Amino acid sequence: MTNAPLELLGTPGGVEVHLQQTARFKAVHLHWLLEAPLDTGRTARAILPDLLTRGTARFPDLAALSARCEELYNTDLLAGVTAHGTRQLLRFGVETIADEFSFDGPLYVRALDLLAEVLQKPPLVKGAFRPDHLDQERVNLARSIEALVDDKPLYAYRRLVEVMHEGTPFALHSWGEAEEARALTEGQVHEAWDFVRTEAPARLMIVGDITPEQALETAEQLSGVRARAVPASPTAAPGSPARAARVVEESQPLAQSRLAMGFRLPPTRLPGAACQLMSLVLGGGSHSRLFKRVREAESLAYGCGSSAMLDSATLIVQAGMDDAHVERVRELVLEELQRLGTEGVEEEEFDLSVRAQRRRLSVLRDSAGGSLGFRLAGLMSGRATTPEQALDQLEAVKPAEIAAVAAECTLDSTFVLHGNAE
Amino acid sequence: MKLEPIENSLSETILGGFSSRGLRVLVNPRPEFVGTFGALGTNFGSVDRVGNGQGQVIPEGLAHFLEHKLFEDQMGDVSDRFSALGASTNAMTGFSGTTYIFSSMNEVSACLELLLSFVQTPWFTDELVQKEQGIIAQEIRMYDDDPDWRIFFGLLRCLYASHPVRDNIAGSVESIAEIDAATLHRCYKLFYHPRNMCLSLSGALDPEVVAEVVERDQATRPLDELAPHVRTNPEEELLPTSDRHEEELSVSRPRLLLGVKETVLGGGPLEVARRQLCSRIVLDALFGRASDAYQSLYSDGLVDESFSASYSGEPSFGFSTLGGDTDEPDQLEDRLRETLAKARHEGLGVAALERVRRKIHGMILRSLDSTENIAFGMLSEHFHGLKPFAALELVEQLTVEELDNRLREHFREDAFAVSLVRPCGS
Repeated sequence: MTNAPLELLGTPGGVEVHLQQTARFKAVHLHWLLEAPLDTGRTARAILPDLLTRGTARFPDLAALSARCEELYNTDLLAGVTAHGTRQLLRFGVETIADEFSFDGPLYVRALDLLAEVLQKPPLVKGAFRPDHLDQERVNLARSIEALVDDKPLYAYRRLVEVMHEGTPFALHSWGEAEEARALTEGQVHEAWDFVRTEAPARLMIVGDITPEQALETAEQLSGVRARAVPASPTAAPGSPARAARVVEESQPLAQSRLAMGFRLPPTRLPGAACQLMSLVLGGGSHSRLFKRVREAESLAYGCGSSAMLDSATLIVQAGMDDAHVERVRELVLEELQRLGTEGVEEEEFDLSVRAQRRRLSVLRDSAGGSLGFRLAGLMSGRATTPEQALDQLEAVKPAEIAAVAAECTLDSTFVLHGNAE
Repeated sequence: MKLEPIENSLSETILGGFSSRGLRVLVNPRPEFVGTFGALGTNFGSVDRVGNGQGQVIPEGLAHFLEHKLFEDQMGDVSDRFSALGASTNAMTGFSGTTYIFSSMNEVSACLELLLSFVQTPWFTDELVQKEQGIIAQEIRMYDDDPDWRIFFGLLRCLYASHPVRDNIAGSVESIAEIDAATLHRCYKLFYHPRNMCLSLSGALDPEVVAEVVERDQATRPLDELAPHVRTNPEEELLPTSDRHEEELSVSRPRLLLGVKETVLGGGPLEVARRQLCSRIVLDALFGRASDAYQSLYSDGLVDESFSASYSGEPSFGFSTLGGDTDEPDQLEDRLRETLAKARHEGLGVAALERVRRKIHGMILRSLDSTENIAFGMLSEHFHGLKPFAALELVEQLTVEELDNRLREHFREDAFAVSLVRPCGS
């Protein structure tokens, strides 16, 4: 059984081709990733994943395209958009069972053909996107953006990020703005499509039983006629603006209030593993300080956790609680972070956090999607690109560094969504 | 304990056996993986509100409360001991089962010992129960703000008049306030015994070591004299108790969920499985992404990516749900009803069946890439009395006639109910 690690195969035409040739998985995962700046034209590009998967010239509507995927043993056609630091990332791809499990001949090549059609051959009418498809997807995108408010934990997180990184690309959502989405013209969307298929820096990542030759042929097929463009270098995390900590409050008719606190991670400690480990000690699971104190000791919340976003040098702490307890939870978060900075990390909690992170990194090898995601995040952020590198960095972290990161963290913004349902 | 191969249609290595105390053990060795996923399940969920034929009433939310409390024993938080082994742990409660899980890399034996030990060694005190009431109350309030959860249980309350499936799995703030240590002990004894449980593992493990660890644990347990829990059918009307539930929540757009109550109940494992599979295939053929109806609803702007259709069924209850976000809930409801009425009249096409077979084949094969999926799948199949990957064999036997019969039997107009969430002030 071939079991190579996920590694860079080459950069034909500027396209980075990463392959993990392995028969470990029964499926093949192919991701075609395209980069663009987040602060210009993102709404027009954000419509593309749904617009392009409405149909192709050969399978001209949703029903025909979906039926084709089902015929191909339920091949998943991936299409989405996310943000990484200051960049927008468009992700297209297929996940399909390996050829050896197909009853009717090679499957990968058929799934790949379908993906290439989605990217390059939409059902155009006189050279333009079908007006009905475009109209519907404009509305759908606008509605999706407006519906971000429906998921309250996510909404609190988004509002905090907007407040904290106001005026910078780090505050922007990858889907763009609802008003812009409603006003998109065919010309703007077409231009975005032209950019994506001919100019956008691209990466191809494949995990599965695929040879290097097949991977390079795949890159050629998906590239089409493309200008040579190399993915951008990792972006630097933002520095701390000189301003007092902000508090923004809103109210909605909810049973529970949400608290989201944003801290600036010290730039000098980035992109180090110590920041991630500090977040784990503070609020990274059932062994963490916030879980023990906020949930177990004081029964104030079902969960209280932290996460470190290294791309934007941000540490976010979130919890949901009765409105009367918002202030108490806020105090506890500040107290625990301060205590971690002044008294340092205890041996046991340090050990538990290292073990938790070690396991997370190690089991990435069992997941094709996990391996791809980890490598991509590493490439875009200038961090470790293999679990092994990350494990080495993790083992090198000293307890004193955890205390130093905590001590150097500064509270930037707090967002409170007050629940005021009767 | 002897683990023996279990035949299955994918020729996957699946071994099964029973411990000396009657615990069912299922093992799927996957040497190509680095991690192992373990799940210990008990046949006790939120719908079990009467103790094994003894008529004892079980409070709403008890199964979920027990799940929380087992994580704390005399030595403190069990999760910390998993963390010390470099493993993670969690648990979940559903309508008809509670499952405790771990994910480990190098310490499979120690994690397995710990899993078996903490689930089988309860330690409840009134003081700790009281502390947990506060935490679970927050969990319940969190779900109160989740529109998907609210619309779903709003629908179940229309479909069911008294069956406990209508109640929130975690209970209510009021119902959990009535739970004390004695109640937990009483219910624990009824449902947490080896013959009512199943252990399922998949990953980088040695089956012989698993057998040794399990048998060593089981030798310390008393003989299990209780029979596996047999779920009784609570008294329940055949048809929905109400045809409509509406409420306003803090959401950006209306959401509609059309439900269909199962009117055919009981039957053996294969019968229930066929009912489930046929209902899902019918829904997929009528409302899946490749269907004419979905295409038309999407093109008319009545549904978006949030639309879904699913079926869930057990011997004592079952329901289909279909819906999603929409600006025109009344129109969407009419169109869903029309599509079902037309299909009942005309039947399904033959073309869909072969595509569905390939689809299920692909779905099951891809699920094998996850040890978690396999462990959960084996557990679920055990509790439903099925062989591993039973769906693959069943789908090969299905005919269009059987699907048409299921369509007319289940999707009857008088079994429909609707749950609707509108934005506040709309």
